[in-house]
Amino acid sequence: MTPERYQQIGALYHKALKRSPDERAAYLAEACAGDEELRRQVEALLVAHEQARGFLVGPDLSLLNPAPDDRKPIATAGQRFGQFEVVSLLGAGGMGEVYLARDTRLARPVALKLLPAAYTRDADRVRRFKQEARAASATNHPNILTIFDIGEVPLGEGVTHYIAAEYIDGQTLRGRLLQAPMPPREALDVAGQAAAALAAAHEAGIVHRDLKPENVMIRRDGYVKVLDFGLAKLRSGRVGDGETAGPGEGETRVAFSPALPLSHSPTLPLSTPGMVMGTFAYMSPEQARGEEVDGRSDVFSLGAVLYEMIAGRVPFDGKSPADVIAAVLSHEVRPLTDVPAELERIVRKALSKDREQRYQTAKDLLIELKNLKLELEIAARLKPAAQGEAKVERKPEAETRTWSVDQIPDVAPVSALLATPPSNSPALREMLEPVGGAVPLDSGFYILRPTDEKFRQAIARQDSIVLVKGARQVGKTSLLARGLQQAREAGAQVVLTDFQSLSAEYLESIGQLLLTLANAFADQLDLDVTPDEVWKPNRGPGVNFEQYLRREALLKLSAPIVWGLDEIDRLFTCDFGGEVFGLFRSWHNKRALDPAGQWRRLTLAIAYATEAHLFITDLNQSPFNVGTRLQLEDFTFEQVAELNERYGAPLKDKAEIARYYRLLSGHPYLVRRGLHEMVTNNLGLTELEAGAVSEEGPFGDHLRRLLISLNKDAELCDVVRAVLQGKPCPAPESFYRLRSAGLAIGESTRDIRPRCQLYATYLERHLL
Amino acid sequence: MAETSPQSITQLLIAWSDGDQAALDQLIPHVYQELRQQAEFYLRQERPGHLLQPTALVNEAYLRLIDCDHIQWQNRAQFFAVAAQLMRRILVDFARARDYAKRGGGLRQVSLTEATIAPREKNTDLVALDDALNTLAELDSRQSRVVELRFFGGLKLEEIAEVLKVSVGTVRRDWSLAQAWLYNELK
Repeated sequence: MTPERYQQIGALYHKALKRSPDERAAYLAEACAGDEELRRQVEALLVAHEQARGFLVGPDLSLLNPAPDDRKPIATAGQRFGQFEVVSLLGAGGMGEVYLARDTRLARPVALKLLPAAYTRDADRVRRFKQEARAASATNHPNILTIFDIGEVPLGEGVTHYIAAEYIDGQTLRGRLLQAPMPPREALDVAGQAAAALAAAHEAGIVHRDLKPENVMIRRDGYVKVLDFGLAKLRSGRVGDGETAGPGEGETRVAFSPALPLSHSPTLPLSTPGMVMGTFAYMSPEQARGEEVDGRSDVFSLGAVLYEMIAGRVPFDGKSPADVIAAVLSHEVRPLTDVPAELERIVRKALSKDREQRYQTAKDLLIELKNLKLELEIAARLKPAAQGEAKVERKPEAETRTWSVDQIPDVAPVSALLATPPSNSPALREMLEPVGGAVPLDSGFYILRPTDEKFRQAIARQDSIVLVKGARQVGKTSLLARGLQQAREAGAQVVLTDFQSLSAEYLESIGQLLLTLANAFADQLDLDVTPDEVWKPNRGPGVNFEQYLRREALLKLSAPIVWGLDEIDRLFTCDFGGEVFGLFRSWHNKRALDPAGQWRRLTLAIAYATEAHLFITDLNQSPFNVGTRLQLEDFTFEQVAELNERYGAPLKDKAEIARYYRLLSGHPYLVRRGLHEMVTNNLGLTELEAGAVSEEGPFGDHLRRLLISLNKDAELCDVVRAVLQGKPCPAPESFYRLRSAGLAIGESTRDIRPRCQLYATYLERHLL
Repeated sequence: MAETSPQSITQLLIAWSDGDQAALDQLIPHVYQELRQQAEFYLRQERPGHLLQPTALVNEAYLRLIDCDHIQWQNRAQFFAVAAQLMRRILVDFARARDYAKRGGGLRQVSLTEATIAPREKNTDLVALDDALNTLAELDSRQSRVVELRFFGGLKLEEIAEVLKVSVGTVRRDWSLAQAWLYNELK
């Protein structure tokens, strides 16, 4: 239900109450004008009004007394709920039980939550519960507990509802904190991942409201999962882009966390046994005052959690809950000792009493956490070299690794993000593939990034539109290729259209293009009927194409269809580009309107370069505002280090990697290109650096192309000059254009800077 | 937290009524402490069938904390408005804590979809009510507040109108609709 709907119901309720009971039915029938549900809702309230006299006049607190627990477990091992087979009981809570179960179809462990029949008689509640579980799963973020499925099975006399969610093999942050103190970089990593989860939830209109170490889980592989959006509020109307946006009212409860009694916590010496008091220590002042909360309240809670990770104690403490509240409301946070000044600043800002003074979004906090983590890592790696400590000798070939990711102290395991490296053999140089274009599917040089997992999930969910975007040569095509391969392996029918390879004649008119695309479908899916047979000249090309797709592909094939569209930015410059994108959007909408329809089985996986933004002066013209968007990011320091290892470690030690990282940042293409160059030509880093900006050097072509596209726009050249001279970017618009083109990085017009040292040096040479 | 006399707490209340936000921040812990001690005291009695209303607790707290001779009824309403909010949290915490205790034993405890699918018990389940009020706040935050003030704070309609700066008629209409809606949510 939306607030607007509620107001509408309320208005009719009051008007009806003014009439005598026997007039009400007729009044409502007329006033609701055929909206049966509205009439039903108002009437339900009128009935309740009669029955509710005295309701909520005062509760009997004796109901707080414990009742004997005579509940038997709902399920036993081996019992099936849909495709899930119960393995063992993990725990029980107030309203149901959570089991470890096995997904028999995908052979993976899941956490299965069962809701006893007694609680599910209210159809309305169940319906809302399901919608909300769906909405929650729409947040789709690697750091948020994933809901796999919801369903119901008859059991005994009633129906048992179940929710299957990702099973997290790991421990809570609370458990981790009880073991050993956390080094700053690990704390930053955990906090950063939690911030990413919050940012995604906030974007979907969900505020967590109860973030604390108990409901942050750390998986064995280092992934952090925020769960228990147990108090989470779902604001109406802002979830997803259409199809997943349910009515959106009310509460979202996605609580799978082990509730640890707080008496176990040494940091919270709160006396009363059994009382749940922990949240006070992480509660924002506005929550303590009972005011409306928003995303900034979660920022505060995350600040408190970060503080505890670093200091080993909560920022606001007291002997009683009242003291804790007093501290939250009016005491200054106790200073942190022995931590980098920047870290202290971040924590203090997050913990500002006045929410206006805090980070305004979780994303802002995330950015600062990430930057600091990077700085600390680089500093840590530079240290040994600067102090002249243990210069790392290049080891014999059998053991080429100069250092392994696992050996770096204090860094959360990143191995989870990385595919298995090839064994470093002496023949490495011979097996090196050329760099450029997509990384082959079987390459040992493909670095997995979080976007790979997100893309895989989106394909598995059969999202309507999945957008892969990023600057040029950041790895979009490689990602698309892998996603499509996985779709194929999962039994989907796959069509791939590479717009770059379409010759110009096919792009002359929309009719020509759509016919070409339909032919590609016929070809690649081996369809019986060709487009020529059913294409009718008296219908628009859009209608022809759509009907062909629906009748000949979707209706005749039972498998889902995934259509990969690579380099679709080529359409941006076509007059009819907008029409084509409009057509895609309309399919997306059709799915939302008719979830059982054929369009549900079509997924468009679209890759495009944001570089095209250089030429889209009006950024509002961006062609897609629907679908799941995946922004490809540069490699992190760890990923560059990992790739270096896979190339047989041409960069000899941590200091060299740091130098290389400064030269190229994490630009995926340049990083690979440079490593490839060093290995094939047996160059050292110093030699590579020396020739880096020369036209004949390994990056020459890339840089030249950059300069050529930049030179097409004199105004933008001026902006780049300003940025090179360290001046702020004059207009937000050019800032975004430079950033989406992959030329510059930064979070605002003030802090904009060239993406890497290589760009800065090259552009300075040619533009200043 | 320093001991504070009824006079100084009364001063805090007045200062807050005059717009001093810091005074509220100092006031809240005292009110919370008082309410919670009282609530705990009553709950320990464990006399079966003993009926306890949160409004009575709030009233007692008020009498103990505030110097009633030096305060206007508008200030009283504001005190109760704060107390209602705290009372709600205290009672819901108690209810949840009981729930945890109830489900103890060797199992790892897992909080579940607690109020989304609430059990239908004869009495008003406080946790379910709390959740329903949160849901209502999303639909109409003022209506949710009206119920909180009346149910947890025991404020009269006139006092609620004063606190929320709306007419008594509006409060009455809000209460009527919210009561019916909550009844359907929780029945």
